[in-house]
Order: sequence, then structure tokens, then C-alpha cells
Amino acid sequence: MELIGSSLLVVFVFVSIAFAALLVTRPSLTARRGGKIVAFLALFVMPSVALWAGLSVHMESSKTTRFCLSCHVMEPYGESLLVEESFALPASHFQNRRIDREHACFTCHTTYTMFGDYEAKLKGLKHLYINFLGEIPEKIELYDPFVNRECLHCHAGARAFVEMHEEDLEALQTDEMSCLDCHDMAHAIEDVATAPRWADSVEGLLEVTP
Amino acid sequence: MKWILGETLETGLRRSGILVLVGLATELLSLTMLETPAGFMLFAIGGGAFLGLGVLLYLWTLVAKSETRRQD
Repeated sequence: MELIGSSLLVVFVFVSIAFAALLVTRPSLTARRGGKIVAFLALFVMPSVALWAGLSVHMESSKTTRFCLSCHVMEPYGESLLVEESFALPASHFQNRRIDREHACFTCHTTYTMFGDYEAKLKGLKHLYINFLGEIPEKIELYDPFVNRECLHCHAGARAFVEMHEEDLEALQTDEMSCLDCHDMAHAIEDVATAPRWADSVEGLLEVTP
Repeated sequence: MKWILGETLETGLRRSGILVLVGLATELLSLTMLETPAGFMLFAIGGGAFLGLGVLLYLWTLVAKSETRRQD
């Protein structure tokens, strides 16, 4: 679907280029009424649509696992999805398809609030700045402690979850207790290099059809 | 502001068209780099900015030139 969207956008951009080029080479067209309409289309409507559609396509593509793992600094985090360790949260979620593999990083590392996506994108811009122009910290840490809301977004109400967490349900919903109090093994970057692997690469697993 | 808009409506429209063209070409280039941070930055800083400026210049040209005509 994303591929169709971006292909349509490419066609649209080519058509827009043709319209804009026509006006740049023959601006006298605007002396007539028809020319004014062409100018309005070529210099206002089409660029606005191209801008909005381009932003949508790029925003969507920036949610993908490939996008996150394309930065060198994120490679060990990608590899941590492949370790043979059922207690490691990211690995067990990724390997068992408890999350959409194409959007694995974004699924857990966005905030499920009204402006959560935008907040994540703004932080992403900061990451891009640091990656290209700034200094990458030796140890990468979350901005804020992981809140249960992000886990409960998917798990709340699920039968297995409710049955297994019956006693702690209220404490989990009110954040009195953190999910990570018990499920405390996340990316475990320090062990990634030596840990046995379930698969060779993340890339190969992204191609699996649903 | 004449240095931006030019003497005539046609000059303003041509300049706006050039900005839009550069923006569209940059957007096209950025679409070949989807799912990479470089593509995103190219669109945000290059394509998006040029397209936005082109549209603004077009609107500004229309307003400025219609005002000039009214004064004449």
C-alpha cells in the first residue's frame, strides 16, 4: 500500500513539474483567463498537494524498522531483536510477531497519546541532528522511564494478560507498579554480540508476508 | 521587495515557478531515498522548504501586483 502511495506521488510530482515548467518558460500564458487557472494549479494547488503528500509518505516511512536501523548506532538494537532469549522483551515480541515487524521500533517507542506520534517525530528530528551533526552519546537512554500505557495499549483486555496479571491489574493500570519490574530484560545491548541468534538478519524477516 | 517579486507579474510568477520546480525535483530525489534519514532530511529541509517558499511567493506576487494595479 505504501509502495502504491509513493508511486502515485512520483507520477503526480512529474505532472506537477510539467505544469510548473510550462509556466516558467511561458509566463505570458497568465495574460489569459485559462492561463491564470493553470498558474493557480501549478503554483498553488499542485505544490500544496505535493508538499502534504510528500510529508505523509516520509512520515510513514520514518516509522519503519528499516528507517530506525539504517543509522549505524542503532545496529546493536536491531540485532537484539534476533537473540535466542525468550525473556528479552523486544526479541520475544519481534520473533513471535506480537508486533508488526515493519514498525517494530515505533510500536513500542511512541507514546500512545493524542500528540504521541508528533512528539516521537520531533524527537526523531533531534536524533537525526545528533546523528549527522552532533555527538552520539556512548550510552543511549530513554528520555523518560517507560510507562505502562505503551504496553497496555496492546495488552490491556487481552485474555492471557488479564488472567496472568489479575492480582496486579490495578497497580499496573495506575503505574504504581511497572511492567518492567518483572519483565526487566529489554535490549540487553551488552550481551548482543555473544548471544546465540534465532535468525541472521532483521532485514530478511521484514519480507515475511502476513 | 522588488528584488524578490520583480518588476512585473510575470517575473514574480516565473520566480515562484522556479522555486516550485526546485522543490518538486528535490522531493522526487528524496522519494528515491525512502526509509532513510537522508531522504527525510532532504525532503524536510530541501523539497518542503522550496515548495513552501514557491507557494508563498506566488500568493505574495498576486497580492502585491493587484495592489500596485489598484494604485495605478
